[in-house]
Amino acid sequence: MLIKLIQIELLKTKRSLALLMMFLSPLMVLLINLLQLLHNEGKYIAERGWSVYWLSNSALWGYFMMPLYIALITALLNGTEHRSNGWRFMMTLPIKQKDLFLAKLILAWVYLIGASLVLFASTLLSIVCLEAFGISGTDMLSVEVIQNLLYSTIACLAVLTIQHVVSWRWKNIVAPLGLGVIATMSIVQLSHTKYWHFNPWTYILTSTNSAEPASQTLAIVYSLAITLGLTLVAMHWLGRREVSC
Amino acid sequence: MQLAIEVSNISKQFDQKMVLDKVNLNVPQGSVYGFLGNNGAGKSTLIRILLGLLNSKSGEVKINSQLINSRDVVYKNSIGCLVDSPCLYFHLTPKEYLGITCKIKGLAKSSIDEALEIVNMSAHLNVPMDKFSLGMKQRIALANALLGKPKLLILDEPTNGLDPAGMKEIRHLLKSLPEQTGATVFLSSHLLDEIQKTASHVGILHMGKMKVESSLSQLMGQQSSSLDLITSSAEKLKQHFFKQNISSQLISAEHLRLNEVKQSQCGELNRQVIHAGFDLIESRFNQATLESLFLKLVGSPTVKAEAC
Repeated sequence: MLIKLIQIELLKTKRSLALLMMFLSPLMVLLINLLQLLHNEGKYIAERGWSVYWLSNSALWGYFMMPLYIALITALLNGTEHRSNGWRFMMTLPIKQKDLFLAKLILAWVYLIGASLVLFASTLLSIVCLEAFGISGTDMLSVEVIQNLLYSTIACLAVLTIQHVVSWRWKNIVAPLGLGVIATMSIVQLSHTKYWHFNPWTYILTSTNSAEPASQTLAIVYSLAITLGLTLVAMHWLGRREVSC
Repeated sequence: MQLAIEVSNISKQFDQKMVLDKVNLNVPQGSVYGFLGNNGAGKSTLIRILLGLLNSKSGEVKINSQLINSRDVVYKNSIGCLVDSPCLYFHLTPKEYLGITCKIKGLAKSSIDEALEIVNMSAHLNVPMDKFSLGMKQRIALANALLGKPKLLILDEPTNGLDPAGMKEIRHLLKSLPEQTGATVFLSSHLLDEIQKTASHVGILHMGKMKVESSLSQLMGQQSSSLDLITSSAEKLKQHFFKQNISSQLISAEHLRLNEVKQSQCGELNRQVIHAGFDLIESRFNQATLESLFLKLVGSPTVKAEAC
């Protein structure tokens, strides 16, 4: 049933902005970093290699765009139901609320993985193109890049689950988007302090860009623990929740 | 008698307000059951309990003889429903939208064409629904309820937004369903005339309590019709009928109402008036209607906020 529900949720995103956002969000990150690189005429690439370019892309993605993209995609997936009394429609069918909750969560994660892959592929393609235009450096692609990609997609799960719960619970789109924007702003202030543990929005950046490997691991562990705990609580709540709208 | 829906002592409370108070309801299999009540009577709440959207405070519900609890979902496979306004994903086409129900219930895709054919929407199979009128949306919602010929149809105001021709179509459809497919139709509506033309059984809910539940023929059989006579001297005519032990009511100086009159007696009564020397200006037979019964039972409709 879960697979069927994921396919149905995917169908519901047809003719929506979900797919466009999946491409546009990472490409914006790439564009900003590419313009910065061209502004410096690629000097730092020659000095320090492409790893800096990869790192700045993953930093901007983790700092800013990924948390906002999470807020947008979860708001979009749940907003479809809020706008059209879809909860009532879905719950008159032989499915459980908790299955629908999981299906939406998984689909949001799939979109997020898609966006991360777009960032990876477009960054790689831009490096190949820049090399062809004479900007050259070492470390075009390293294991660390693949590792960061994997880490960020796991470390984002906590934020994804929190935003999903908020988008599910509150009809007004201001709630999830407001939370997303405010929490994203907090990353800048908290990610380099000892309090980063308490802010799930910092886990993405910590998992990819932290200088300490222990912090990277901790960010992933925290994220998984929050995801698991919150999902269990949400599913328990949904097992008893009435659909009154 | 096999029951499609059996509701026993269902109560539901929102905050401090009792919306349903020990409601009992029995819907025979293969019937078209008209569920009536004023706004705020608790109809939608009961329908939502039947569909598992709300939990009841007490009591039990059996659907097709199966006891339902709030965690059950399997029983919904045999139910087609339309609750309140249509819940459509407007950016999807009817084919995509109905495909959702088909996929979840494991129905063949051909049932989409069949259902759209029934509601006359086959020509709009691949058009996004945001361009549809209210009536068209209602037809799609109805098609969704009819998908896979469910054993039980629960419909809340199914003719909302339909034009007169559409209402007639749907009325014929609902009336014929029990015979054609053996389905039971549980129909909630404010249109008493529609219910009278469609239903075989009727239940009236008032302020959270069941007032009446019976077959329509039995219920209407208990209701008396009347004959209105317009004459120049209604007072004298009243005395004339009093001597014959015929109950009557003086409405005005020219208007007399004879109570508990059958249609077959009208000719004879009219002849009597003329033979007795009264001038008969007008004679009008008033057939008992569901509307008159409804108003007698629940009084004038009062608007109350729906609890949900």
